[in-house]
Amino acid sequence: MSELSAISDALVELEEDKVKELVQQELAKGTDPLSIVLECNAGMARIGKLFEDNEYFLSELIMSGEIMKDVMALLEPLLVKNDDTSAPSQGTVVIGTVKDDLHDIGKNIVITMLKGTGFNVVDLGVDVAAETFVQSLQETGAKALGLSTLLNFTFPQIKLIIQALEKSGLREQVKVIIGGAPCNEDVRDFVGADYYAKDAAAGVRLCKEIYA
Amino acid sequence: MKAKVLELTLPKLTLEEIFLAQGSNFTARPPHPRILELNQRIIAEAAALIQPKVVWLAVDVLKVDGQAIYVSGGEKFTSKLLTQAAGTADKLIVAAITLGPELETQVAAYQAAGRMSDAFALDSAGSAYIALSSPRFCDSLKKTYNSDGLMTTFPMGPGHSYWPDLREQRVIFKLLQPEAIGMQLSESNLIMPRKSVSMVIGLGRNLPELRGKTHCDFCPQHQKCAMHKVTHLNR
Repeated sequence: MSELSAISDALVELEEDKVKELVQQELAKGTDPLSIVLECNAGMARIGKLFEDNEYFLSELIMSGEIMKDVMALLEPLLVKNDDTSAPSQGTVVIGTVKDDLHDIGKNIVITMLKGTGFNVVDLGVDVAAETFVQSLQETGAKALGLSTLLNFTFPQIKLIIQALEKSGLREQVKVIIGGAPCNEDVRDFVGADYYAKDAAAGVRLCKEIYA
Repeated sequence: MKAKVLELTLPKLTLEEIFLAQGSNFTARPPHPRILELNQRIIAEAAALIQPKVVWLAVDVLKVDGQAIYVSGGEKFTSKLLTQAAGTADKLIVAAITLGPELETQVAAYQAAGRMSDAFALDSAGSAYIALSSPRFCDSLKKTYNSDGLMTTFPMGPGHSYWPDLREQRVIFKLLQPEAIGMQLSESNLIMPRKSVSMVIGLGRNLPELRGKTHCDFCPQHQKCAMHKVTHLNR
C-alpha cells in the first residue's frame, strides 16, 4: 500500500484527523498537492460506490464530503501557488430548489458532495424562478443544471425552467438533472429533463459524466 | 368557535427512528461510531430545541357531494379521499402541529457554518419528531372520542398525492388561525416553520369501515417514504 493510498483509506473510514494529519505529512515531505487531490478523489469514488451498493449510509456520505471539502480548502491555495493548471475545477454546476419549494437540505448535501469532488458550484438557493436559472447558466457557461424539489406540485415549475432554457437557446448546451424525494424516471420524462438522480452520489456521478 | 391550543408531550426519538428518517436502515448494519455519536448528540440537541404544539378545532359538516365536504364557516375541502373516508362524518377535526422555529434556525446555522452532517442529522430529527407527534395527537383524540361512542378517521392533509390542492391549506389556516402559535403560510402555501403538519380528521358515529388503514395506504410514495417508515416502526 502506498503512503498516498493511506489518505484515501482514512477518508473511506471517516478518520478526519488522520486524513488531515496524513495530508500535512505528505505536504511536509514535498509531495505534489495535485497527487494528494487525485488520491482523495480516488477515495471519494470508492465512497460513492459503497453508497450506491448500500454499504454506506447517507450520513456517512455527507461526513466524507465534509472531510474532503476541508482537505480541498487546505490544498487549493497550494495548487494555485504551484500554478498547477492541470487541476482545475471538474466543471461548473448550477443548482437550486425550484420555485414554490423552500426545502434545501437535499440540495445542500449534493453541493457538499460536488464541492468535495472538485466541482465549482453555483448555488441559487430555494424558490428559484426559471429566469434566474437561465441567467446563471448564461453567466457561468455551466453545462450541468441541478434542480431540486421535495414537492410533487412543483413538477410544472421544472417544466417551465426547461422551456425557458429552450427559449433562451441554452437547451442544447445544458444537461438538466432532477432530484428529490418525489422524483423518478416518470417525472423526468414528464418535465423533459435529461437525467434523474436518485441520490447525492448519483448526482455527482452524472455531473462527472456530463463533464467527462 | 375558537381553536384550542395544546402543548404535546415530546415523543421519545430513538436512534433507529432518526436513521429511518435519514433513509438508512439502522438494523441492517451498524453505522460508523462517529455517525452514531453524532446522532445521539443531535437527538438530545433537537429535544432541547422543540416544543410540539397543536392547534385544533371541530367544525360541523353541513353538506357532502361527490366533489367536496362543506363545513361551517362557508368553507369546503375537495379531497376525494376525505370525501370517501369522512363523507358520513358529523364533524371534521381540523388541526395543525408545529415544532416551533428554533430547530430550523439551528439547521440553517449549521448549514451556514458548513457543518452539513450536523445540519442533516438535526433536520432529520425534526422530521422524525413531527412525524411522531402527529399520531400521538390523533391517538389521544381517538381515545377521548371513542369513550363518547364516536369514531375518528385517520388524518388526511392537503399536499399529499391523494389531496393535491395545496391551496386548501388556506382553508385550514382560516379556520384555525394558527398564526397565534407562530405558524404561517408561504405564498406557495407551504407551512412555516417547515417542521409542521396540518390535518383533517372525520368524526362521527357512522364512518365507513377503513379499519387498519392510514392515509399512507392511499399514497403511491409510501413504500419509499422515510416518514412512513418512522411512523410505522412501532405501530
